[in-house]
Amino acid sequence: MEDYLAVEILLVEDNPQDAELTIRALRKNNLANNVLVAEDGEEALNFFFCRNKYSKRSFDNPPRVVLLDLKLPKVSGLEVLKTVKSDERTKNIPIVVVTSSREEPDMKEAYSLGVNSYVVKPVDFDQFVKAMSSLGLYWLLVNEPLR
Amino acid sequence: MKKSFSWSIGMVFLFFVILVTAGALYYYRIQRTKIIDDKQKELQAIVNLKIDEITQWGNERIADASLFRDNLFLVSEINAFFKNNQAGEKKELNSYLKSFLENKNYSGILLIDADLNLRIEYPEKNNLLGGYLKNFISKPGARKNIQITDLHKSEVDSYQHLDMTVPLYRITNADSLFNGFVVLKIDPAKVLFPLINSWPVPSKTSEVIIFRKEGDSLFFFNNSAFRKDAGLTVGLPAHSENNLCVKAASGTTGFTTGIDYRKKNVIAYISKLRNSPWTIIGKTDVSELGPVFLRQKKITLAFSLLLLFLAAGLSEFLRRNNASRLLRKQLESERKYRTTLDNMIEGCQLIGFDWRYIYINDAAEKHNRIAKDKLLGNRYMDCWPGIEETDVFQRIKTCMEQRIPAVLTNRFQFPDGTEGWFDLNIMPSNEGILIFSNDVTLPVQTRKYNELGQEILTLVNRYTNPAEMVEKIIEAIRNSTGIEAVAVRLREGPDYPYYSTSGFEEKFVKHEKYLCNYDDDGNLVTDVNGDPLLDCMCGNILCGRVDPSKSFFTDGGSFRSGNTTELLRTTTPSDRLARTRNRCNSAGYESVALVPIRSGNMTLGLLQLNDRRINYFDEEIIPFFERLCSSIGLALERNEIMKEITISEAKFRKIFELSPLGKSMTTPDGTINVNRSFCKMLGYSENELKKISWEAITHPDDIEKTSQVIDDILTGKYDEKRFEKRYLHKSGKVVYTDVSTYLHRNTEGNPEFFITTINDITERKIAENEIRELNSELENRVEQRTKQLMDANRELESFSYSVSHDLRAPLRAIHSFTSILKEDYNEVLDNEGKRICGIIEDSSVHMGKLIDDLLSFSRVGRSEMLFSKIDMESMVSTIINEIIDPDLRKKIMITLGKLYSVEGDVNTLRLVWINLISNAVKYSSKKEHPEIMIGSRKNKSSVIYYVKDNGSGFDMKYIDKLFGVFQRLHSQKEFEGNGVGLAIVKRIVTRHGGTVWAESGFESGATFYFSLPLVPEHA
Repeated sequence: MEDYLAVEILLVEDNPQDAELTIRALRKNNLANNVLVAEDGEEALNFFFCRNKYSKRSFDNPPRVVLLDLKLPKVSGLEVLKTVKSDERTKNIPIVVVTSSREEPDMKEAYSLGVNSYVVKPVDFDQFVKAMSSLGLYWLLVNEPLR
Repeated sequence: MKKSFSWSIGMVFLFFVILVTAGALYYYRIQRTKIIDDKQKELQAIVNLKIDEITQWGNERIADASLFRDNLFLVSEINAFFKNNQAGEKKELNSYLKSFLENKNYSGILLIDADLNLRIEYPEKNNLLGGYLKNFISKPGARKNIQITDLHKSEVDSYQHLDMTVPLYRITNADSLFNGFVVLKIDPAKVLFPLINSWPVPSKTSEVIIFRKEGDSLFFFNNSAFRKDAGLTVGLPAHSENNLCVKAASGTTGFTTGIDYRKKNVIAYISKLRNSPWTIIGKTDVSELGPVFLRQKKITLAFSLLLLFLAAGLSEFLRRNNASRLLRKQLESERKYRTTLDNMIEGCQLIGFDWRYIYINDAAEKHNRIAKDKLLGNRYMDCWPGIEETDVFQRIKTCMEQRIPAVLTNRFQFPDGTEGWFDLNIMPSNEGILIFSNDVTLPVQTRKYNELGQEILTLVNRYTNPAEMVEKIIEAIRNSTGIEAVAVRLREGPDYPYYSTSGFEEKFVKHEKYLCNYDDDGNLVTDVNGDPLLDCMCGNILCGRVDPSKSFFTDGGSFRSGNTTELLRTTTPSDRLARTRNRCNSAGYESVALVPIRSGNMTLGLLQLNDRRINYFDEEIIPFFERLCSSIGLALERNEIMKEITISEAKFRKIFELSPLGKSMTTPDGTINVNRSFCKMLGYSENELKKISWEAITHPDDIEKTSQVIDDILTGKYDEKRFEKRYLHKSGKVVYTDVSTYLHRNTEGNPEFFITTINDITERKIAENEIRELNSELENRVEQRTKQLMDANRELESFSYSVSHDLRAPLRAIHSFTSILKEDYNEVLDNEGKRICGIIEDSSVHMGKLIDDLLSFSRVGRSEMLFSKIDMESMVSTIINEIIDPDLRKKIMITLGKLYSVEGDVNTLRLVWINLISNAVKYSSKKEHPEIMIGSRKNKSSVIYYVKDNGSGFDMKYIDKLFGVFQRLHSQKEFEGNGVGLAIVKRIVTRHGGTVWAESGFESGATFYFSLPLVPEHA
């Protein structure tokens, strides 16, 4: 699929259930039109830096928000965050860490790397939906991206 | 040199004589000229004075004359008389003239009318007018002014006189008419000569002469001093060449010399009298200057002579000064010699031919030991009774009589019994004999005593037998010093009997042998210390009862008297410190010395020196004997010790041999002595070991260490050293030893031998090694365990992380998809299906909570704690407000007591309070009136906080489980919860170093306590 060129939300999530639930939550608010799921850190980085199968992408067309899980195969979420936030071309892309981890070290590091928001996924589905909906609504509709 | 100097001095002197003579002549000449000059100046001054006086006189006369001329009334009266010639008028004029003459020195007055007739003469003589005067006034000039005639005689006046003519004019209306003359007669002999002849300075031959030349003759105006009638009377021929007046008359003025009328040589000053033919001369006889010249001559001569005398003196002085330099040197050396004699260290005495002392210098006075005043002037043999028998006197006599000098060393016995040694140099002198003496008493004595000391040291070393040694020493002292009796006392039990004596009478020795006293019962008399009370002065010395402030005791603890009779007379028994038996004195010994024989602090005995001669030995030699006695003491002591050493050496050898410890004695050169134990230890025989070097039996690894120890001990770094060392057994087996080695040094500090003690510690060492191995194994194990633990911790962390992250994802999936199922398939599911879905949802939520609690529990254990002072009261009230909702808050009665502040970690302690308070709220919530009391109390080391509620409480028998993880004492139905809260509380409090406990009565509420240390243990 070539619609990655118009991606609005990049969801970096290895767990397919979580990914599905997230998309489901977004869809409830009609926010799931241009969601791309990257299943590991490496793919996410490829997307960010327009490499490999995302080579046709342009830096000029960043996603509105990136939902980043921390526990990822290959390249961890914190590494992805670090790479993206330390590169001039990508550091302005809003990244929200969405994770099950409430561990303080994770949070501290994420914030120090420049994450835009940190959300702990609730176990309760209703609460999960609420959290994801408000996330999507905020970043896609409320937040004014840098153009 | 001397001659030439004198000669040159003579030349200088001669030259000086000529110079002075010439100078004197010149001076005299100058002085003479000056005298003449002065005289001439004096004459000039006087001549000028005379001229002035004469001029003055003339002026005064004219003033007199003016009285007539200017008195118009008188002139008219005179005129009236001339006209009328009336007697009354004449009488009147006469009286006027008379009164005039009474006041002035005129010899007469003439009134002459215009026709030159004499009308009045006063005093009246012959009324004739002299031809000279008539002639004078006939000249027209006389009518003009007042004039004085020259000196003249006349037919009417036979004496030389002057006339002063005053023309008279009568003033009429328009004219002045000549009316005649007034002539005043002046007798110069009366008025002028005294003026001229007076001389203002005393002079016999000085005079002023006024004269004029008239034709070939000279006329004198005045009477000269030598020719009273000279005035105008003497006419001298005006041709004598050198005549003064002739000179003057021929025009000479000023200073001059010449011959006067008396044919005398004169000096003169000549001057012309103004407006007159007269010349005035002031003159003085040259002869008058004679005495002045003579005086000047005398002065000059005296001065010259004085100069010459001085010069002569000076040259003589110079001559002597130089010529006598040697002499002076001689004199000086003589003086020096005298001073030297006075101050010489050598004694010097001069004895006259009559054997009387003439001179004694200070040193000799000292040598003689008698004030020189007592000797000077006295006969030598009277001063020194008994001297005539001595050998030295014979030498002196020989010198005196035969003029043979002698040099000798003499021992001189002084009258007081003392003696001295003197080097004497006896030589003949002009006065008699001169004796130089040099006190060699000290050197001689010193030499003597040195020799004695040497001898005794030899004896002390030669004889090991004390009896023999002491005997020899006593003899040596006697022989060397000539002391009459010498004895040694040595300790024997409590007493110090005579050990050896020489020179004493047997009776004396018998009586004085013992010093101890025994009472009637035969018991030894002792002092307060229980020491035996020793009698006599000997007892004092032996017991150390000495008082150095007393002159007869020395600082070294000895006694010495040169005159015991005197001593006994002048001291009291208490001065003498002990009951003295005084046998020495009664036996006639005047000189007594008692010197202690000591070794260290121990008194072994004493040395006694007795002599009947007074002052036989000086106080100064006592220190010598004291040193001698300490040598003797040491020798005696050494003999004692040697005896003991022989015994103790045997003992030592036994100990050495039989010691269970290895022992070796090694001299630095390698000689080895070893004992049996050491041999056994290393498996060698004694002889084998003696041949083997220490390196050969030392473990190779310990050779360096051992060598170092030996070096350090030899260099004096330390004296002994204990160290561990491995030896090699003959079999090659290692022998572990504990070695203690000590270097014995001799008294000079030189190494003699090492004494080494070797303790076999092989078994101990093996045990030690085992323990060490065990320990190291244990350490390894601990290390391993620690590593394992750390690994476990790490695993736990990653486990917790995984739980936190991975466990929740499926749970979320379960919950979410169940929710989706319920939502999306609402119509398909029946009620039972929906209920089951609900159970799945609840369970998954509960499980999520469990996971969270578990994580938070694990986090409490891991998280870092930051300690700070905590305001507990504010923290607790905040928590109460946060966790209890307002409705419930109204229902519960919360009593908040005093909460002390402590230091702790804010975040975790918050959790403690949250858990405890929420528990209290939870378990009391079912009560109708829930009450919660929170407070604290403080003890020495901690603060104890409590939370008390009136809730359901718990059964005390399960108290063990109360603080366990996931342990619950109530069912989920009764009270919600999962049993983590109190576990967290316990963990946090424990981490703060405090403790947690609780108490409860069943259904009567529970109280939870936790304590926190006041001084936090920083975990």
